[in-house]
Amino acid sequence: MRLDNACRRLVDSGDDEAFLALVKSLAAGVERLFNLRLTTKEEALALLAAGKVRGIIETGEKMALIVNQSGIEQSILKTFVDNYAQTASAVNRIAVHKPAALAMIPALHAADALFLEELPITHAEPDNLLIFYFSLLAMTCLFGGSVGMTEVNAIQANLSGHAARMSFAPVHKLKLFLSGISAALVLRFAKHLLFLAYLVFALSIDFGERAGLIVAALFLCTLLGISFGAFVTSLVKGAEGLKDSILFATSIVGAHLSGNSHPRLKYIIETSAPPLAFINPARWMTDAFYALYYFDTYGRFLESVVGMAIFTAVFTGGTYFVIRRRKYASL
Amino acid sequence: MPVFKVCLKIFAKHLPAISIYFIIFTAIAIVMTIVRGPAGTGEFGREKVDVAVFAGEETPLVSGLRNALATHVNFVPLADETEKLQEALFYRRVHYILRVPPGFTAAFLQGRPALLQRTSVPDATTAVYIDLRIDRYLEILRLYVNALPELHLREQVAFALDDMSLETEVTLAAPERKAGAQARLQFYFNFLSYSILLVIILGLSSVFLTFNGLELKRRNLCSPIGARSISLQCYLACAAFALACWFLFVLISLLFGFRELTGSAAWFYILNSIVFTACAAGLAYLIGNLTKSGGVVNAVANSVAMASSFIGGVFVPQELLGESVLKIARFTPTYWYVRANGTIAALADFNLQTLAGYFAALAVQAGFALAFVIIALVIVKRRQTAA
Repeated sequence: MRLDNACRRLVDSGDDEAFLALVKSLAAGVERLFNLRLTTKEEALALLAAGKVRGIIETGEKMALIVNQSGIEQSILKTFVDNYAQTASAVNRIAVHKPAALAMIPALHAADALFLEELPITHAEPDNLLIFYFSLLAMTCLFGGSVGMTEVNAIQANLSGHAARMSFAPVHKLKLFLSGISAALVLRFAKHLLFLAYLVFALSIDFGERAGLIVAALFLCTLLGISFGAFVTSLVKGAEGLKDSILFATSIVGAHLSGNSHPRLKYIIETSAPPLAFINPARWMTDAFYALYYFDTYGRFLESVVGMAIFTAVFTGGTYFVIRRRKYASL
Repeated sequence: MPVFKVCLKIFAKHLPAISIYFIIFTAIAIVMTIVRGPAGTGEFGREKVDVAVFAGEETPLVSGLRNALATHVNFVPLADETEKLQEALFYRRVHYILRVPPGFTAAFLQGRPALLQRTSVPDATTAVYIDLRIDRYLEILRLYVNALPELHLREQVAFALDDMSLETEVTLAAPERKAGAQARLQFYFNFLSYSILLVIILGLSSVFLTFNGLELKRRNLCSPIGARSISLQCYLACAAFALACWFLFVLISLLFGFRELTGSAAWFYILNSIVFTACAAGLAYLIGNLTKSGGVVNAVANSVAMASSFIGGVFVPQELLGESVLKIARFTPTYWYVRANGTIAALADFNLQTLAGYFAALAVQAGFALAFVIIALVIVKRRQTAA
């Protein structure tokens, strides 16, 4: 006789009455671990092939598990069966050595012993979910690059009549550029503060207790995003649509590589491709927020701030260097 | 079909930008598949976790604990300094730090409360495995300590380790299916939904932004080609573009599963992806008719693709999402697309009965596609009468 555990798990049992009793107890109630069904092996295999069950357990001399694929539910099944087999082996060995000791086994099982306690080594609870939010914040700041792009386009005479007229103005190009960037920075920073307020107050995302430093980091991230957009725009020669697509694509890639879709990717990139992590502005932004949240000291945060400041200076300087002496044969 | 040809010319003109989107998002799909996919051994197995252990004492219990963990972890030597440990966890050089306090063994043997200290990165699956392994070892050892106290600790530990060496034999029901490649194919097609949505919305928006310009719209209204014909030719061009993108994406999927094409599962993934592509084209048609600037299209495309991918089960598996999130996700086509892929991944036998859930998910996606197009046509009609 074989048992099937239908719908989510499949259990297959021979003559092990203790195992059957255990599985039945775990398949009862609203918060049951298994859905249990009794059937033959052939039917069980058919149910497994049809995806109606997640696994078949065969008992006998040695337990075996049949599954369709690796996954969380299959792992739970395996862990459960391993635990049973190991405990049964221990009980059998005790029975051989000292049958009289069997009487105390149920009491020992019933006693809920704790062997592990969490020892935090930082002041904040490590939370992997925060990487998503910090990366999202970094992506938002990177999208500020579109504003940088607008400002650079606004002073390139071949792209708009407005820029052509400004080229005749008796104002130094750097002054024009910086005033545009400053105005963009103020507006963009205000929007990012609103977004931060939404994350903190509406979604209750814990950014830690250093509010002043968080706002300062956000300001620097905003500036980095705008300067990044300006730099990419100044380098790309072509239509506005092409610049827009390159900027958008690089922002999305940077955000993904800093853990936007999967936190593990961030660490894989940092360990296996450190130069790629180094040149990714989103990574510096994400690290700045996470360092403020996670570390007790400010070393890692200051490292991120210095990195962002250097990149901002490089992007801003590079942008000005590219556009300052641009001449046009005709407009 | 002059409008159809004009649309193709618009695509050709924007080809550099569209190509950038295509290459970037395909690369992201491939990278994510490699990162999130299984090792591809075709066997049921687990990864070894990087662990640091600091023992305040050396006893048979502690060395037995190390042996119990040895098959499941890589021991990483680290300096016992707080900042170095914080960094190691931060940069995932280790995922788990275990500390055995002095006096633990004596307290354990005497039945007094005794706790090991653990610190881990909040990666639930890896830390939980280690916790379970440690608990298992100490629970079994506790049985021997209490039931057979006359034995030496070394003997009790040896018995416990012998019991823990018992592992259930796991068999894959359909060994001819290479589980690793199948799972990678599933991950790739799941992530493809994000890439398909972004590439098709951003690509098709170039056509709509052109045709929805006021001057051009007014000239078209005066043309001898009827508005319905213009819309239809436009939509056909969009469908052709979407089909071309889909074909290229599927071609790239061969990187992961060219051997799998002999099996049925791959073709069902491909069928699911083409239905989803049609849905994405419908959504792009709707978004294109609602927006008026490229910046807005970028923002909407990213929001729609990312939000539906997060709640639909692309970035985080559906079994790990809460019921309330899944309830909302059911109103997105991405949820049904991922669900259909999950149904195929779980099947070894493909027939009408087993595929009922799969076809139902396809039907829902087709329904979404139709709904998007109908809503877009209503909006277009209203704008025409208002203009």
